Amino acid sequence: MKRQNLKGFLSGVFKTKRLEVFVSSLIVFGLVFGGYRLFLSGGNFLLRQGELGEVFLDRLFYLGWSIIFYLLILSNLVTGFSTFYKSPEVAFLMTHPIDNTQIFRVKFIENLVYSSWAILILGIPLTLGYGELQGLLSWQYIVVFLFGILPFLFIATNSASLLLMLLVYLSRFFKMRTVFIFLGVIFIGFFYVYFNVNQQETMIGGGLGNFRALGRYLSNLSNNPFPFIPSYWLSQLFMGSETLAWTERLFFSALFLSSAALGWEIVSWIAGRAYFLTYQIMEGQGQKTKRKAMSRFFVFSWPGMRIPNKALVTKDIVQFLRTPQQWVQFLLMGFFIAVYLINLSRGSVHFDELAPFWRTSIYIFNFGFTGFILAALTARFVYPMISMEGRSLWMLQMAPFSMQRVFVEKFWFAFFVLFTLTEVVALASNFFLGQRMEISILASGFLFLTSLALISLSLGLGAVYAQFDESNPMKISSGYGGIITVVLSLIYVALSVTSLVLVINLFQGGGSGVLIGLIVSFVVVLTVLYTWLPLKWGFQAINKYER
Amino acid sequence: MIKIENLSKQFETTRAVKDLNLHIEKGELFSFLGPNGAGKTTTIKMMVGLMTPTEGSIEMGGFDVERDPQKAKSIIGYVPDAAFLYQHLTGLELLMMVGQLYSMDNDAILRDKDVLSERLFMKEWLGDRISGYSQGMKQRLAFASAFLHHPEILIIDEPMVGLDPKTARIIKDMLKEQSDSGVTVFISTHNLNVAEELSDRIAIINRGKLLGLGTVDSFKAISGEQENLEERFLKIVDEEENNGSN
Repeated sequence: MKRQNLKGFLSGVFKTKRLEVFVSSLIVFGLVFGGYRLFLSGGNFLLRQGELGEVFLDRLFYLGWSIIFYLLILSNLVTGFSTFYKSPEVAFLMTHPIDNTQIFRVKFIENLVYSSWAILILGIPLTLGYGELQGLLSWQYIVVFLFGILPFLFIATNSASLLLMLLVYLSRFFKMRTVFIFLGVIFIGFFYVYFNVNQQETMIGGGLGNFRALGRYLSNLSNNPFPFIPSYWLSQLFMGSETLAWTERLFFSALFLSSAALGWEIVSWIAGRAYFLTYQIMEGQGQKTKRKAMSRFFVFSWPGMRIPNKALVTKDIVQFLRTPQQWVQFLLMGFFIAVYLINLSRGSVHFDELAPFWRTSIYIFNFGFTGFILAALTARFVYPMISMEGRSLWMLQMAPFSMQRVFVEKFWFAFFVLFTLTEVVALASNFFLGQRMEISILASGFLFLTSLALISLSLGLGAVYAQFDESNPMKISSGYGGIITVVLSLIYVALSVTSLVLVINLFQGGGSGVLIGLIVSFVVVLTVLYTWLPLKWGFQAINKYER
Repeated sequence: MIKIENLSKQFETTRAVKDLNLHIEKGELFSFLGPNGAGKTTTIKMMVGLMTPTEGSIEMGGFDVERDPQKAKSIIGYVPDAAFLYQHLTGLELLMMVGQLYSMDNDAILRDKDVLSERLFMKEWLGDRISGYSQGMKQRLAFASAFLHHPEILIIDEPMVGLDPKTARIIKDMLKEQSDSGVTVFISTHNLNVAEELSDRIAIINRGKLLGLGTVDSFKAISGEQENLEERFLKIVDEEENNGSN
């Protein structure tokens, strides 16, 4: 009786939202703290390697914030479409005697918060860890946050809002698809310049082979610090008191504040003249979507696929291709990966100059990078898959098959695309890095497990935290469940990379086969848990879903 | 054909449907009437398997909706009150998708699509994206997708919402034809004229409780004097609400 009471009590407690929030917050806190400790110990390790480690660390930090800046602009752009133009709240407010600039400003703040908070949480470990390595004092963290990170976010939202209004204005003359292609070309062109033209040879100096090859690798991987973007200003603000004089700190703080304030004024001024006009243009978009009657995908005979499955796959493909927010981002990610691979291939001639330690370090970094790509892709594209069914979900719920089939179809669809993509990245990068065949095969095996785990996690939690009323995939991904998914994905990648490091060390050092077996078994068990539990929870959630 | 026994649905503090019992025969055209919030849509969602009953059971064509949902769904065609359809597809693609979900082959889908699009005047815009459709166009497309796989039972929540008079007439005719050909038709509506014109039998529900069940004539004649259905409906609902509040 007592046991039953306890069971009932526990199940009641677990059902409450409060506990869910508590557990999830604990997970986020775990990631922030774990990430901070990991960055700190990794940084300390690099600093012990002398001048080379110091350079490597600075570059990693600079690269991290550069990526965050571009991700912020991108996420602001995508969430901006629904926040500024598609929100029912805006439609309601527009019919009332309220100044359009005021509506824009409110939506601007909403968009800033929505698009930044998840990325900000991921930036905390980087900030704390690097700050401590640089010997920042407590008050300097406050300066960095108030006069560095906050204006940094504002500048990203300012830039994205301006670009967004321009894009919507252009869609008056061109189809939205053409405008998105234009946007993609701008991004790709910018990145081409950023990664290739702006590469100097400053790091390649000294007679040491290690320094030369690693310098080339880093130089190819990112670029040399470019003083006209906020990531550079931020990396300067992070310098400790010994490196950065207070006048310089004041200069960079003032630079941040004035840029953010000026940007805000410019955006508000333009919004006063263009927001309502662009809103009207977006309202008219639905009338311009006359298309060919039927995509060829619907009559294509997919080999070995049963008819209902074919319908599900076809619908997902056609919807993906007709949602520019989806394919433009996918293409951009593909482009980043291509840049990474091209740069690796250029650096390959120098990797043989590296000592085995640095070579393995780059190799591990590369594996971590591939895992990170997969985590980003799954959180961004797989997590919203169930939510994207939206209010049309009833059509699938009414179909004469179980929702399990819908789940399985989405799983294999995502697995086929993403596993193929990441496996190509892993194999190509290992080839360029000149890795031994057996280690490349081992990494491919790990990547197979990583794909299984992360796709299941994103799909399952995407169903548990489904937002069927939200049509913007980026907003869905950056919601509460999305951040939990990213955190859990990164924890998996961290554990997986650590396990791989241990296995490689044991393998190269002729270590115990039993220990290698134990580590591999741990990864397999972890993968089974990451695969089975989220899919089970997701399936239960979608089955219980009533509306 | 449809057997609902002791059906109840509890939402946290509200009992939306209370101990409902209905038996509807094959080929019958049955109307479910009630004011807003009476429990009509909740009942329909339980019938089609989109909601799980708190108590009771539902059989559709001999298949229990909870125990054998896939077989039950394979014989049901459903049109919801607000037809949310995949916005990025064209009407034609949606029909292809629905047909394929019911394992129909492409030739059969295209053949039936031609018949339905002609009947429902959809030919001109079926190749456009659904995102550009009006409410009435979406509703017509939802009807076409419900008819497409030749269901044995049609369940329609508010059939006339968003339809112009001409299309409303066509839909009424189609429902009557379906019923005459042996398909069981279950509609929920506010529109008493529709119920009066089409139904073999009607049921009146309010606050989740069945208040009356019978033919239209039996309702009209219940008070001994000939009232129209609207007057009778309002009386029944008012009486129940007065009893409930006392």
